[in-house]
Amino acid sequence: MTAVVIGGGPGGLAIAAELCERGHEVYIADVPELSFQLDAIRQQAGIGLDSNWSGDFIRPVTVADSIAAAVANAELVVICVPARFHERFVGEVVPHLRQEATWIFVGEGGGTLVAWPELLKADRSDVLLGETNCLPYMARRAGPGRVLANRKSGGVLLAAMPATRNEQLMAICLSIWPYVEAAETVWETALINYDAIDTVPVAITSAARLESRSGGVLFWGEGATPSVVRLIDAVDSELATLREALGHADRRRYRDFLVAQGLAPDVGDLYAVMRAGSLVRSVRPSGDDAALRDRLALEVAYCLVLASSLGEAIGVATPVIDGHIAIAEAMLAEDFRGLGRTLNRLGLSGLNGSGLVEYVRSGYTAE
Amino acid sequence: MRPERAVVVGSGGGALTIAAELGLLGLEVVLTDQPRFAGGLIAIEAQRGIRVVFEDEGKETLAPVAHTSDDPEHAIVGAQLVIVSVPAFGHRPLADLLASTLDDGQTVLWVGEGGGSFATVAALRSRRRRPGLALADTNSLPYGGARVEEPGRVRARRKVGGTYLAALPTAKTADLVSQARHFWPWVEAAVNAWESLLLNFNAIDHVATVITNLGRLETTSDALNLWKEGASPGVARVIEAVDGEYVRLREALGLPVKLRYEDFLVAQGLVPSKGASLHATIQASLLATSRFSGGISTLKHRYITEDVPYSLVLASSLANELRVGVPVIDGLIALASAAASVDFRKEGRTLEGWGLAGAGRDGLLAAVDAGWW
Repeated sequence: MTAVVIGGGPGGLAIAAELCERGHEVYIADVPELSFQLDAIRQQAGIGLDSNWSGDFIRPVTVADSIAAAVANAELVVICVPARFHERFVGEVVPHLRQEATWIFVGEGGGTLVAWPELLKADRSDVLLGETNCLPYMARRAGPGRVLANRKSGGVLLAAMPATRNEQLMAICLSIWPYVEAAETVWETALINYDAIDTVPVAITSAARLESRSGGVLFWGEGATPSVVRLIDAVDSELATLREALGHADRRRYRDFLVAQGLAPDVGDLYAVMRAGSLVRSVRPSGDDAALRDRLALEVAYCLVLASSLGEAIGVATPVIDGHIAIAEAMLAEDFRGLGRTLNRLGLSGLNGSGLVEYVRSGYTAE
Repeated sequence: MRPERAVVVGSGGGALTIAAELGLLGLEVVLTDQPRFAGGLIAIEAQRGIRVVFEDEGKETLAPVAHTSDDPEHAIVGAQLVIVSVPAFGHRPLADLLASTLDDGQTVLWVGEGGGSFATVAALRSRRRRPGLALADTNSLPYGGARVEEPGRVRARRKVGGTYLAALPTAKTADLVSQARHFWPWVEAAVNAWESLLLNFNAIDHVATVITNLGRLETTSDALNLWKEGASPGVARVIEAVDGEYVRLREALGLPVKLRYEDFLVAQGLVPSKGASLHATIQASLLATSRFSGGISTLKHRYITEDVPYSLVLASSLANELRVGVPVIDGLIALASAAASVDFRKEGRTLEGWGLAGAGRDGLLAAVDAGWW
C-alpha cells in the first residue's frame, strides 16, 4: 500500500517505520509550523528506529511535500497527533482522500467522532474510518529523525466508525500490528484512555512538585502513592461504568490493560501492579507551569470532558472525573469544558444512551 | 459589663488558650471536656492553671483556672457565660450533651469555625426544648497556631483581626460582640451567622493544598512547610477558586462581599500586606512557616477529616439549596473521598442534619434572624 503518516512526533515516526518494514511505501507529513521535526528524516532519507523487534537501521520514509498531495496519493492515511489538532487535520485531509481510502487515528481515541460528520458532509462514507485507544508502542524521541519504540503486547483496541466496518478495518490493522484487539465501538476506544486515567490524578496530586522542582520527577514512582492510586482507580471505575451503561461487554479495568500492554506483571491489585511495572521508572519534566500543563491539558479537555458530557447525557454520575476537571481548570486558569470535546461540539447533544450507541454502530442518528 | 465567671468547654489548643486568656483577665474559669478528651485537664487541675505562652509576649505565664471537670453537661449549670471551642466534629455531640441542661439567660459562644450555634438549635429542637439563650458563632479561632505543647502548657499567637461573630438570633449580635471584645478587642460583627459560617479560612486553604500535594505528603514522613513548599502558583489558583466559590455562596445569601481570602490573611496579621498575587502573598505570610506532618496518615489529618466533611460538605449542601455551582469544592470532596475511601458527604455536616434542608434562601435567612426554626 501507499501510506501517509501525519504527525512528526515519536508515535508518528514509529508507525511510519513499522509500515515501511511491512513493505509499504511510506510518506510522512506534518503541519508547516512543525515540519522542522521532519528535516532530519529528509536529510537521512528515512527514520532511525531503535526497537525491541528489529535491528537498528534507517527505514526509508519520504517526507511529503504537502499533506494534500500525500493524502491524495495514499491508500492508507494514519493520523497520529495530539487531540487538539484533530479538527484541523480533519479539515486538511477530508477533501483529498482517495476513493475507498483507509483512514485511522492512532493514539488516544475520539478522532473519528470529529472526522465522521465531515466525511458524511462530503458524502465520503466510502472511506474506511477508524481509531485506536492508544499508541501501539511505547515510543520516545531518540534524537533528530530517530525514535526508540517498543511494541506493546496487547491492550491496543481498534474500532471502526461506524462499527459495521470493524471486521474490515481489523483485517488491515492486524497486518500492521498483529496484537491489536477489536473494540465494540469507538466509545470504547475514546473512553479506555490510559493517559487520562493514570496521568491526570497523579498530576493534580503532585501539582506543586511538578511546578516547583527543577530537573524532572519520577512521575509515577514518586507520585503514585496508595491514595493517589485509589484516585486512578476511581477515574477508571467511572469510565468503566460509562462503558457498561453504553452496553459494552468488555469489563477489563486499567489494571488489566497495564498487564495486557506488557507494562506490568500480573501481581495483585492496581497498586501492586503499578509499583511492579515500568511506569514507576518514567521521568517527566518538572520545574515550571508547562510541566503541569503538559500532563493535564489534553487529557482533561479531550477525554475527561467528553466522559463527563457523556455521563450527563446518559444519567451516569462522574463526580471524581468532574472533580479532576474542576480542579485542573482552577489550577491552570483554563476553561477545559469550553474548549474541550463535548457531545455538543460533536453534534450529538440531545441523544440518550441508545441514540449514542446507535450512532457509533450505524453512523447515523435516529433523526 | 464583663462577666466574672466563665465555663470553657474543650481541651485542645483553642480551648486552653481561651481559658488562659480569660483567667489572666481575672475571670473565674472552669475548664471542662468529655471524659474521653479530658486527660489533658489533669495537669491543669494539679497546677491550678494553664502555662501559656503568647507569642507577642514571648514568656510563659501561669493563667489561673479555678477548677476542671470531665462532666460538661453539669459544669455549665448556672454559668452565665459558656465558651465552647472544639473541632467541628465535636459540635453536634457536645450540643446534644449540653442541650438537656442549657437554661434561660445563658450565653453560649462557639469559638473556632462556625456552626456550633446551628448545632445547638438542632439539638434543642430534637429535645423539644427552647430555653431563652443567646447563642453565637465566631468564624475562626481568635488565635493562630494554638497548640498544646505538653499537658497543661499551650502556645498561641493572638490574631489582630479577621475574627467575626454573629448571634442566633441576629439581633443579639451587637451585645455579644461587645462581650467578646472584653477578651478579643478586634472582634467584629458578622452580618449574620451565615456570614460567620462562610468566612471559613481553613476550608479555603487546607483541603486544596493537601489534595494537590497528596503524592508528596504521603511519601514524606518528615514534617514540611505545607504552604511554602506546597502552595505553588497553580495550587494558589485552586485556593483562590475555593475562595471564589465561598464568595458566590455569600453573595447568594445577599451578604456584602468586600474582602477576599487574601485580604483576610492581612487582616488576621498573617502578612503585612498583599503581594502581586495570592501565591506571593501566601509565600510572604506566616502560613509559609506552618509545619505539617502527614506521611501515610495524611488523609487522616484534621485538614481532611474535619475540613472536608464539616466545612466543604456543608458549603456544597448550602450551594445545592441556593442553586449555586461550586465545582471546585465538589471536586475536592470527590477526590478526598475517593483517595481516602471514605464517603465524606455521607458522614458530613449538611443543612438536612440541622433541619434546614428545603428552607430556601429566604427560609435560611429567616432562621438565623429568628435564631430558631
